[in-house]
Amino acid sequence: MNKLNILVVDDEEMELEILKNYFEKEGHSVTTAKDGNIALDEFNKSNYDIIFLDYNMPGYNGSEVCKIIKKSKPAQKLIILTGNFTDEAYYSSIEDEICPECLIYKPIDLEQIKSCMEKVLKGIKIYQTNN
Amino acid sequence: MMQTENNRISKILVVDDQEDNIDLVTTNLEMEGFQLSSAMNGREGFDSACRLKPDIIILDIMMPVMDGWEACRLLKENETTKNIPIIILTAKTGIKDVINGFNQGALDYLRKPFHVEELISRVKKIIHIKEEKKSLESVISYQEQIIQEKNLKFLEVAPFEVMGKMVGSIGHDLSNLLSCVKGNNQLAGMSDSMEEVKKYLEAEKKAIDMMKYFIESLRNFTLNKKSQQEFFSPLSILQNTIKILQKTLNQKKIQINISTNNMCQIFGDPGQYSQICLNIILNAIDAMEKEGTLKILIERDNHFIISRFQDTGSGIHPDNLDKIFNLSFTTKAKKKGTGIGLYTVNEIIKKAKGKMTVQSNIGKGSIFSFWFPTGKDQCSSNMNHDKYNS
Repeated sequence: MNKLNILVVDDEEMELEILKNYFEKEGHSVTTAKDGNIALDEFNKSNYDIIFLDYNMPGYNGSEVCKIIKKSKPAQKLIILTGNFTDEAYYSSIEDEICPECLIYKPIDLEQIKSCMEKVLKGIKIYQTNN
Repeated sequence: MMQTENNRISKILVVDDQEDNIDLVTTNLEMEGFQLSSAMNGREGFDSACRLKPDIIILDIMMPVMDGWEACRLLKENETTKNIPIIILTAKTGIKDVINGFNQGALDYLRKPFHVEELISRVKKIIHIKEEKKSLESVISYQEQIIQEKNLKFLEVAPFEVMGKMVGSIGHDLSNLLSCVKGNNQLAGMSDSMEEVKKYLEAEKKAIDMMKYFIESLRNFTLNKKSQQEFFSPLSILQNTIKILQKTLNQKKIQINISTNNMCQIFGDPGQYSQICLNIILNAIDAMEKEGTLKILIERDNHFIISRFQDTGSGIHPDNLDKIFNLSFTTKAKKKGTGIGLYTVNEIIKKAKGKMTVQSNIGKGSIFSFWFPTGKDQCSSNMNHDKYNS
C-alpha cells in the first residue's frame, strides 16, 4: 500500500499509541488528536487519506466530529471506532445521510483495522463490523 | 326459589309487633321463594339480625320495648349488621318521618297501608342491586390483585435495567482495555528487535493490570450480593460505586466533589446503599448532557445518614416533580430508560425505612437527598470515622 497520511483521534492514550505505532510500522504518516476539537484543527491544517475517530470522547463525540468533517469535505474517508454496548453509536453515526464509511466495534484487532481500511480506501462502505 | 348468584336462598327478617302484618308479609314473600324470619320488637329484631345475618330487614317503627328508630340506629352501628339493607314499613306517613328514616340509614321507606306487590318488587330490586354490587366488588378486588402482581413483576425487572446500564459501561471499559492488550500483543509479534518486543509487552502488561484493577473494583461492588446487615462506611461504598462509573464520568466531563460532615458508619445493607447511589448518579449523568458537576454531601442527622446529590443538569419541570417516583415515568428519550430507576430507588429506601426528597430548578439542576438509617446507634462511638474531602 502507498504511504498514507492518517489522522487518529482517541481520548485513550494507550489506544492512540497502539494505532500510531501500528500505522507507522506499516509505513504511513500518523497524526494523533486527543479530542474532537484538536481533531478539527488538524483536519483543517492538512489533507488526510483516512481519519479514525473514537466514538466516546469528552466534548464532541465521534459521530459529531464526523458530521462536521463530512459537511466541509464530503469525500473525506472516515472510520468510527466504538466500545459502546448500546446501539447509540450505530444510530447516531449511521442512520443519517452524513455518515462514516465504516463503524468498527472494539476490542480492536489490528488486522481487522487494516482490512477495513483497505476496503474503505477502495470506495467500499462497511457499516457494521463485528469482527 | 329466590336465590342469590351463589345459589343461596335470600333471607329476609320481618320486624313488626302486629302478627297480622308479619303473616301477610311472610306468606307473600315465601311464595316468591324467600326464606323468612320474624321478630316482634326492635330488641328482638336486632338480636335476630345479629344471629341470622339476613339479606334484607323489613322494619316497623312503632313497636313496644324498642322502636324501629332505635333498632335502625343499633343495626347501622353494629359491624355485622351495618351493611344489611333496611326497608322501613310503617304507618308513620309524615314526610319528616320518611326523611328521618333515610337519615337513619334505611335504604327504602314504605307507608302502611301498602300493596304487597309493591313490597315484593322493592325487595327483589334490592336483592338485585346487592348482587350487582357484590359482583362489582369481586371484579375490583380481582383487578387490584392483578395490579399488585404487576407491580411485583416490575420490581423484579427493575434491577435488570440498572444491570443493563452497568453491563454497557463495564463492557465498554473492558473492550477498550482488551483493545490495548490485543493491539500491543499484535505489535510485539510484528516487531524486529527484542527491545521493541519488550516495549509492547510492557504496554500489554500495563493494560492487563488495569483490567485486573477494574475487575477487583467490580468484585467489591455489592450489586449482586444477597441482602445482609453489616457495618459499612457510606463513603467507601459511594467511592467504589463512582470508581465503576469513572470512565463514563470522564467522558462526559463530569466532575464529582464529595464532602462529608459528622460522619459515622451505618449498620445496614451496603448493597441497598450502593444501589441507591448508583441509580441517582446514573440519573445525574443522564441529566447533565455534557460537562457538569455533581456535588455529593454525606452527613449525619441524628439516626440518619443524609446523602445529597446536587447536579448541574437540566432540572425537572415542576409539573413532573411529584411524578418522578411513579412507576414508568421518564423524561428520558425512548432508547434511554423505562423510568423504573427512581421508582426502584424509592422502594429500596422505603424498605430500608429511610426517605427521599427532590428539589429542582429548570436549567440549573436537581438535588436528590436520601435519609438512610444508621441502624444500631453507632454514631457516638464512631464519630468522624471517615474524614474525606475532595
